[in-house]
Amino acid sequence: MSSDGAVDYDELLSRLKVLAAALDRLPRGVVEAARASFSWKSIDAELAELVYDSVVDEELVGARGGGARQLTFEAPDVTIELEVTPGSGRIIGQLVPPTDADVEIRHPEGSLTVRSDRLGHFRVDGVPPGPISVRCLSGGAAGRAAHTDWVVL
Amino acid sequence: MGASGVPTPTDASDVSALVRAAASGEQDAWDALVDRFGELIWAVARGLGLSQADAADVSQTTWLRLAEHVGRLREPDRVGAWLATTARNEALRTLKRAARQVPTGWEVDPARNRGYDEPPPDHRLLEDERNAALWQAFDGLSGPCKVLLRYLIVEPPPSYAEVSAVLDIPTGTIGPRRNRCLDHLRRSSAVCGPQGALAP
Repeated sequence: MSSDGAVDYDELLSRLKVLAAALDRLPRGVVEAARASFSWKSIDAELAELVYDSVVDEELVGARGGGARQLTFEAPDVTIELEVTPGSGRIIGQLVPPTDADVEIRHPEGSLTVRSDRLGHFRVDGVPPGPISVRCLSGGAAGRAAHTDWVVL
Repeated sequence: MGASGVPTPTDASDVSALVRAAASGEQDAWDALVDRFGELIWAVARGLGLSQADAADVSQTTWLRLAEHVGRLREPDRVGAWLATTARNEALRTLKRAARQVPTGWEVDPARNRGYDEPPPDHRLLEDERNAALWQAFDGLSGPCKVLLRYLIVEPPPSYAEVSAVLDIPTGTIGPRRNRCLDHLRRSSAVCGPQGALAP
């Protein structure tokens, strides 16, 4: 760090750091939300991991304009498929294998609960934008509760 | 190393201990992780060009994911890299989603500003011409330089391992890349400002 150039680099970064601290600081509400996220930690359920997201995994050439988004989450005992129409606040879902179960849509401010029919089909309206996770409380003998990874709709 | 703006190594054992404590349910340890890595996650999302509202969603999603995974991490000492990578993937997902959607009006939905009682950014610094030129040049950067520099001005500074993980580049190349990006920034800000951002 002896050359003049290196000193300039550090000075430039320092000035950027000061500017970012004033102009693009981490909002307090974001910190509070991050802290509150800890209360969603759960230990009693299988985690259904996101294995397919049409937004990322599908090249929809010519399909721009707001088609439904498909998401698939897999846990050892259950697969949870979701279809979301952007901006609608509606989620249409399918449990595989088909089960009638309580299905809870969790979001940072609370949750919405519906029941899937015997074909494993469910529908939820009024889901707020932002991150959600779907929790499936299966009553089946073998089925454990499972919940999906969090994802922003 | 250790000069301002240069990442210093994270104390990996401290971070591991925080992860273990959080996994066993200690909110204080969780809060310490938020203090340590919250700015890095914000920088990842903002560096990729997300709006504040989208960056807020990415940040929250990243922490919610950690809440689910905190007891399952294979390398607890690398939780910073895990968080940064998760945030990057979520930010890229957000960008792809936005690219294929028509505007939904969510940006102006009151629910998007979930009670963030935030004072407006302090623009007084920009009354200084050199600052204004530098910030304008930084804002106008795109691609890898914007992302890299945005990480390198995070406070507390991320480790080179974290920067390396999220950018998927070898740690040894970070210093030279940083200097090339700063050269580029200096040239751009000299063009932006009447006297140049580095004018004495």
